[in-house]
Amino acid sequence: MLAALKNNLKLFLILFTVSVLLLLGDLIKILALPKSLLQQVTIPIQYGLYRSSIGISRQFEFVINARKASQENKALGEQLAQVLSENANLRKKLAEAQSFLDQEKTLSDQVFNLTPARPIGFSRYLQIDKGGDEGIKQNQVAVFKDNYIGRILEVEPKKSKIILVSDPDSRISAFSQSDSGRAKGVLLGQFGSEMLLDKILHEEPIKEGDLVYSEGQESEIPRGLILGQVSQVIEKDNDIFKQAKVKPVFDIGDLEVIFIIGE
Amino acid sequence: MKTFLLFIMFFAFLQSAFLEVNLVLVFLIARSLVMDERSNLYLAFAGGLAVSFLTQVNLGYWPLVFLFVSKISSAAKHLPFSLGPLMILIIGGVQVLLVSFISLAVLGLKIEIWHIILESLLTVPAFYIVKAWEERFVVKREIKLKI
Repeated sequence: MLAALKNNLKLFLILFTVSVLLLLGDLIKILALPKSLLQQVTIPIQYGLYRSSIGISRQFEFVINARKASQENKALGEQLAQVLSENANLRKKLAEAQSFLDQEKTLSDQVFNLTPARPIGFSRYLQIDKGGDEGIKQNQVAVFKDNYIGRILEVEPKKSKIILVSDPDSRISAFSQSDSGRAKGVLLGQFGSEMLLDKILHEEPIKEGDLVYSEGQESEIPRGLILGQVSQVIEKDNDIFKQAKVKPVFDIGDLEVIFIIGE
Repeated sequence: MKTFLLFIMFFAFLQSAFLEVNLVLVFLIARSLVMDERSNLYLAFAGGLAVSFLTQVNLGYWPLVFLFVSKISSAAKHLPFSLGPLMILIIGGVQVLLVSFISLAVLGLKIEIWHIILESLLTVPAFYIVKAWEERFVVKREIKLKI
């Protein structure tokens, strides 16, 4: 190893001496002028390299930031979906709570034995999530606030079917109430959402906008439940009775919860 | 040597502009380990001068440091050990550490442990790059075809 150190020793010593002289020369500032002249050339190159490096690092930073933003966006999307889902659940629960409150204001649970139920399907009949296991029985009445919705047609252990007031097979004795008096008749379901109040005597007053109520002649339907609103009166001079078209006061599809009147 | 000198100058510009790793030191150690030639001393002097000038340090400082590094590396090549990656890493690491301490003492440069580790690790690939370059791409005048 010592022999290796001795290799090129002469050259090493010469360069060492030159370096020491440069060290001293720079210390006493005699190299300031050539240094400043040479810097006129090197500084623009260094500046160019520096600017290029900043440009490149910004490009890398952009790629990294874009990746980070993409990950954050994905996470935020998931969070948003979760929040929206929670929000929907809360709204549903709020609507249900509001329905309970409204129901309590109209039909008192001290007078009626009310069982809440959620609609789970709607084709011709309305399906609810309560059945025989919860004490639901055939012909019990479904209401919302003080509106008649229908009566239980079929009961299964966990769900039931309700025949709606607008169903063609539905017949309820009803009356309309106006300022000038009452008009009695039979409310018949029609194909579509409208109903027909039939068998109204000519002398009984009825006009558009009157509310139609249940008569209470059917044993299971309480008197005074709202069945709909008169939308058109059909009156012919040569007919014994007159008729009135009745429309529902709300859309069944909007209901979150309904109540079954128990025994 | 001329190509290597150009690379050394380029590295000097890079480390004076933005690069925090002392690439000139790394490649000088690597070349001194690959071959024991006079040209290493010239390269060390020129590289040191360029780095000193471009980094606004006393002109004699880096030539002196690089001359010693080159001399020590050339001597280490003759140690009775095979020059495997681990040995290169140790020799490189010791010299990088030494240079860092000297820079701390003389210039007051802070010791950055990550720079020391990175420079030490870079000595190994630099050694093989220089070796491949010198063996494959540099024409040796002493090798002549006999016709």
